[in-house]
Amino acid sequence: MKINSTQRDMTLKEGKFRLRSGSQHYREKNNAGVYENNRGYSTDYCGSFTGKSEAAATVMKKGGILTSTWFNKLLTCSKKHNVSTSALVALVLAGVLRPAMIMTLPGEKDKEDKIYASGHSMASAILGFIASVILTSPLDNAVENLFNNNGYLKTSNEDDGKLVTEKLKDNTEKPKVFSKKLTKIGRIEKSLEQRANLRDEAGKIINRKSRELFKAMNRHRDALNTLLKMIPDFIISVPRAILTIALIPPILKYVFGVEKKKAPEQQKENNNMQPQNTKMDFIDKPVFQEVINGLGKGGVN
Amino acid sequence: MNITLHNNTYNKYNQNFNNCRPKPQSFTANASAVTIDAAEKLIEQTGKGGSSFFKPVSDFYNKCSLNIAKYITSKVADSKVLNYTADKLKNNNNLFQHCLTLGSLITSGLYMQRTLTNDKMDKDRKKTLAVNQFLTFLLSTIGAYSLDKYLKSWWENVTSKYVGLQINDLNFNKNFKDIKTAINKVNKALKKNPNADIFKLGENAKEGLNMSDIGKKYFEHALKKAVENSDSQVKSVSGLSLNKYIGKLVKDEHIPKLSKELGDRIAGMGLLRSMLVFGFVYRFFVPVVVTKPANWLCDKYLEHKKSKNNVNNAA
Repeated sequence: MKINSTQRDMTLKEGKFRLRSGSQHYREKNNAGVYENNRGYSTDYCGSFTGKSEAAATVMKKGGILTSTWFNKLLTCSKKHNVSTSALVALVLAGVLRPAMIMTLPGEKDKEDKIYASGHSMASAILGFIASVILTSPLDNAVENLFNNNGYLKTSNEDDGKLVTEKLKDNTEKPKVFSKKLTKIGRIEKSLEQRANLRDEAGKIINRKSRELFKAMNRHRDALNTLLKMIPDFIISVPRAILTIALIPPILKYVFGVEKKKAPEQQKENNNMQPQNTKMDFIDKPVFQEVINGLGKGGVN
Repeated sequence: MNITLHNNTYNKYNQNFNNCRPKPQSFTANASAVTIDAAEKLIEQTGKGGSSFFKPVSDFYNKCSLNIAKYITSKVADSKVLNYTADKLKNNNNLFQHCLTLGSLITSGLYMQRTLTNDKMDKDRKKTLAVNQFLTFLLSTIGAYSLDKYLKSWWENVTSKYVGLQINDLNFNKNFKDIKTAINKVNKALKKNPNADIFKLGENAKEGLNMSDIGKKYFEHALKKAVENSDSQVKSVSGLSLNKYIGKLVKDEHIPKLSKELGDRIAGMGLLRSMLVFGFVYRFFVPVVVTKPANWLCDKYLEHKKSKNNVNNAA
């Protein structure tokens, strides 16, 4: 009698070994995206490689960046911190892509100019981002706090490891109204909401006026929110630009080790002008003018 | 007689179905994943205020935000000027884009002003450069608005895909795209033949799309609404926006009500598109592609002007 023992090592070394374990139903249920394109490990066997569930792995594969955590955070930031996210986009575009593009453009002669332009771009993007985040983030948070609480303000404190939020109160221990306009909008919205969504049996809106007013209130609130968040950007744009212009030379010099040579354009312009001027002076001289006029007359005659 | 003992580790899973279920991984093979996990935990802790290192900073930050809200934001929010502006602009769909443009105009204006007050340049050059900067800004703004509008429909499809993934409804995106395609087909057919029966056009549009019941329902609803809203012959069927579609699905309980966070993220998708487009045009395309040819044209113009002046002087 011959007894063979086959031992398989179910590790990643197995390469494209396809698992066929479990009931048929289970296999079918989980087949999509898991057994296909097997890369040597299976989520139903050893748990997810990344610590996520199998279903999540399947969705992640299909959704790409749309299901990633960082993308969700970026979208939340886009809504809550408009200016900072714009600055972040500018940081990627002007701080990474633009220098990379400038450096890959053809032209060996103006390599120093390219390095300077790239450094300039990076420095302005970094400064713009830092300035925007520092200056506008607290302002955005203030707007969010005021709008989310319909003109009231909430504070959050930690009590025994739990986050406790409460509305700020006035002297009479009642919640204090900080923005009358927002409180009014909130109150109107609340009273209109039910009436605005009333429908008859056919599904048609009963009270169109209320619905229109409700929508108008929503839009006014959104416009106010956008303007309140963007106004700081307008205010800081001038000092930010001045600060950027002022700080770029030292940043280029001490951080990037690049220094701009003194006005090559103006020198070039002067070089172009000099021969022209001398030439024109030469021709403009009265003696030459007489000679030219004399020759012209002679030619015609 | 041959007896083969399959001593495979996975055999025991064949015997017990429950063991096949995903198990929490006790190790992470990828070193970078460990770092990312640790960073995520740290960020999470910091966000919750659990990190003692960042606590003073976050406390100071929160205090600043609260005081700004108390003394500045609340006053500005109640100001008549801002409310008047918001009231006038509330129906504008491109308010955020206008704000981005205004911000860029302020920065460009500052650079123009610096060019005009630069003592190192001659008068002609200063003026031409300032005009050049203004024209560059103008053209790039038109380009940014056009690109933003052009990408709007495609981006809406991406957003619907995003929403579908977030609510685990894989047919969400397909249904939305099908309805939009069918409406576009009907509108195109109506342009060619304005007297055609809209419901027949609708039937034709549905062919080949393999629409689901939900898709058909809302497409037909859009056709009926177009008929109701028109006095005589239907000229066009109004397009379905993603927000409206979500609202209808929620109302008819095809999907659960979206959380505020997800609503914010969906709104963030629209804002992100404009940020990317305007950022791309102002911060990448214009400096790399437009500025150099514009400066070259400016130099050529100045040379031409000088030579013309010289010829005039000579004459």
